[in-house]
Amino acid sequence: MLETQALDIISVNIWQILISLANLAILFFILKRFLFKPVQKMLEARRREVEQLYGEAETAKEQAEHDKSIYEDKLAAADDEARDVVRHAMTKANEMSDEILADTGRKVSEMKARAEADIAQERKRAVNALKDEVADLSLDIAEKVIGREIGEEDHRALIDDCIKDLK
Amino acid sequence: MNESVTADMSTGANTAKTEQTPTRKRSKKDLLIDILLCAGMILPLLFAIVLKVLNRPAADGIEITGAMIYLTVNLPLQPLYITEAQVNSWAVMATIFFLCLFLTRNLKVRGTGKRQIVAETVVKSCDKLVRENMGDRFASFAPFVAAIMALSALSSLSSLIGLYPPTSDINIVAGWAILVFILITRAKMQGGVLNYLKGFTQPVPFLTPFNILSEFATPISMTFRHFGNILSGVVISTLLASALQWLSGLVLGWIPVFGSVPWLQIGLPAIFSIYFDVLSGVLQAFIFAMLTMMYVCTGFSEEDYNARMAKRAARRAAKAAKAQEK
Amino acid sequence: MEIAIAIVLGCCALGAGIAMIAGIGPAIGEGYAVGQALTAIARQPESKGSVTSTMFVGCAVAETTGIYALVIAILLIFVAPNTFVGIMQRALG
Repeated sequence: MLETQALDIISVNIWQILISLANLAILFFILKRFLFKPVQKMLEARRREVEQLYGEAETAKEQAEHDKSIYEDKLAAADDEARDVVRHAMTKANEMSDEILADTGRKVSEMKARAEADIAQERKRAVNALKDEVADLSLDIAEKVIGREIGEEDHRALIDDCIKDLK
Repeated sequence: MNESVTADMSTGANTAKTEQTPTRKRSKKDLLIDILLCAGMILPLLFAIVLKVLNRPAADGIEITGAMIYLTVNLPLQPLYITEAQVNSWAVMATIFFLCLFLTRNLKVRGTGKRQIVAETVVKSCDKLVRENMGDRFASFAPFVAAIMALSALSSLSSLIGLYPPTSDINIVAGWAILVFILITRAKMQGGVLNYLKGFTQPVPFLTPFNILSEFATPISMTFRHFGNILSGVVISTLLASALQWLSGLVLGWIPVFGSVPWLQIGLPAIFSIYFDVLSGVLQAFIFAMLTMMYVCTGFSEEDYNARMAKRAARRAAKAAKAQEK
Repeated sequence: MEIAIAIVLGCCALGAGIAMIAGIGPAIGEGYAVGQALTAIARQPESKGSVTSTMFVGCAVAETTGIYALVIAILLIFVAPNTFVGIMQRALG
């Protein structure tokens, strides 16, 4: 056990002040180099990594959006194409049906006209046949009435006159 | 210390590579270095306690004196004393140094060990405190504020261990206050030396001596505030302990064997020491740091700084333009 | 010589006692500050943490003059007698 002197409770000593000043400066450098620098470096690395991750996520999202828009465009184009094809087919079908209808109509009117022409012709023939019949019949009747035979040229001229009147 | 630091870094890299599983397999070397650092934290304080116990003070009993002198070196102005307070201060510095090394072992970017969380919390809260109170241009003050708070708080708290608290010595606190005063003056001189001297004559030239006096009152008041609080705590604790010892001798002195032990001294001083040592020490450390920040920040205000930077940039641009003309 | 030493010691003790009259100032000021802090907390209970910590900081700064007085009193009790008696002995004895 050593016996040591003690300072007074308040005594100012210039060297102690300087030593204490140096102590604080040394501790400042110790803390800066050994605590703040490593931790701040690690925080900076973490912040950079987070930013990089966020940047990657952003570009991936943009890429996904870009791809999505392309696919949507393609889908829309396919839809339009399909609709076009259907419309085209429908118009074509309509055209064809119109054509067929027109054709049929034409054919029907043609047939009608032919039938009418036939009918007219038949009518004329029938009238002619009737004319002949009537001529014969009237000759017979006239023979009977007159009582004599009418010569061919005579009754021909008579009959023509009658038919002219008939007409 | 450098080689041990680099050894730490290399082992840190090795263990980072081998870590693939969530639970960390601590290699033997890691554990050994951890134990070494913890021992490094405790040993300086033990050494200081041993030194104190070995040097019995000259007077008997409980006395209120300053620090014990271990060594005397004769120098021109005043003799240089290596006192108990200085040795304790060095011990606290060594403890803080080993604590730093312990906290920053194996820092990982994605890892979250308890140690790393503590280190990050300390650094981030210090940074936030400095940025809030001083603005962004003084963000490099964070280690200094952390140093002041750590040294002051741990020095005051070392009286719980039985050491003589370094902050109850006026020389030590005066050293810190003078360093802070130098920093404040340097911050004020950012406006130029002439502006600094002119600032003393404002607002009225008649007040110049009072302004100079109040300039010097800053470090003196900071010293006395911090040192006075801690010293009063020590004095009251010592007086209380000695009074209890006297009381115990009076009341229990007639018991043959147990009487010579001051029984009444147990317990009651500890309750007071919660206020005087713990609360007062930590609060005064915090206030010392806050006042440092306030004085350095308001020495030269933000608009003046921006105006001066703008003026300097304009002057430099004009000079460059003139040089280009020629 | 003894009378001189007695006078010096007595005046030191008296000065220490008179110096501690300055303990009134911080007490009144800090009591008023705590009262204002309580009013603020009662008006807005969620600002309790911020108000409390600011109050502590303000109290610690306002306590400075009381600490000045305490330091002078401690000086007068423990340091002054030895110094003054030493000066006297060198001057007279």
